[in-house]
Amino acid sequence: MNRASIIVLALILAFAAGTMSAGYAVTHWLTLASQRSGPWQRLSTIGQINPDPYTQAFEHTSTQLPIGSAEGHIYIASKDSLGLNLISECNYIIEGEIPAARLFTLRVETTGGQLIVANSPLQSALHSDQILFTRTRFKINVSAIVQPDNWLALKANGPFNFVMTYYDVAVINDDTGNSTRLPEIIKGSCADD
Amino acid sequence: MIKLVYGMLLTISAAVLVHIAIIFLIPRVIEPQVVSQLQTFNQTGEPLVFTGSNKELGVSGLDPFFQYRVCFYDLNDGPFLLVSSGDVPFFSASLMAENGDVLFSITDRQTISRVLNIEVRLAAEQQRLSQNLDEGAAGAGAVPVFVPNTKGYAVIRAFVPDKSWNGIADNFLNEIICQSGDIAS
Repeated sequence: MNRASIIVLALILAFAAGTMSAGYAVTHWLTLASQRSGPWQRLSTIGQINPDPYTQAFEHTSTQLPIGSAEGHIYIASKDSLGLNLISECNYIIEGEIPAARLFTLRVETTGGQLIVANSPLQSALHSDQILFTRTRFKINVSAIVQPDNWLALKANGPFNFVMTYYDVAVINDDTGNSTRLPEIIKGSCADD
Repeated sequence: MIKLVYGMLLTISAAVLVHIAIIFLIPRVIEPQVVSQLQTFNQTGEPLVFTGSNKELGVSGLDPFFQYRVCFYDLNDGPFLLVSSGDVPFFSASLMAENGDVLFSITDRQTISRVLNIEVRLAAEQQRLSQNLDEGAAGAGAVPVFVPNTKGYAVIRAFVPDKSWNGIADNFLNEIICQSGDIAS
């Protein structure tokens, strides 16, 4: 193989590798750049002034409506607290301390970011005014089958994400959200158990 | 062997350059998807109000317990005023640059008497206005916000705890003044 052939082959491979790696970085930026807290991820650079080039590229290719840091913080979980993917065949318990936020909501989305809605009147989303709390903690049962206490009806088909949004977090925490405590996601029984 | 090493080094270094070039090119070549999606539905002249369950917009990251109002502004037409009236259990607002960066955000608790009253001007005007305070007075109690770019949009979020609040939140969002131009008039 002569030198010219090596250069041409190298450039073709480089173009393919560079394009694929850039595409992967942009589409998976939520995972690559997020702040992690247990199973929850938050892309802290989204919605900030002068974001880094990767975040800018993500923002330009994403249809996600940003939220200002003074408004609230969005946390996404695609895995439970043991690191296993969330799947619709299983029940889950979301349990933790009462969030240090004025208001919070919990919803279920597809892994592509689309809201999953249960058949009315069941609710596949909850907000903090609908949740029963103990003195310092809360517990939400997530299942396709009716559950006692706080119940989030799971209507997903296959893998899904939990999305928790804490509103007016800065009132209680520092503005970065670094001090925010997030709940555990505990896997329960599954359909094939 | 030397040719193989040479080829691998060339491939890796060229791939890095292609990767960096693509990452830097995307924001310059592609318009922010969320902005173009919203602008598609902003052609009618009606206030752009939608629920968090709306799938027609093609915008993700919406909360089903919220209703949204989006207003586009162009500071070439003059300062932009954002004023609310009415009441919902919780609302927040943010100003976005045309490229999607969040320039400013606020919740109802950070406003005076839970009334949104913001006056948006170009950052270049800040020094001139601070020297001529009378000129800057748009409306009583308006919070001045200075932004670096002429074009952008505002997003106002209103919390809807249950269906009984739908109409109230809808009225609240529809009655928000999103006004560009001569504020005194």
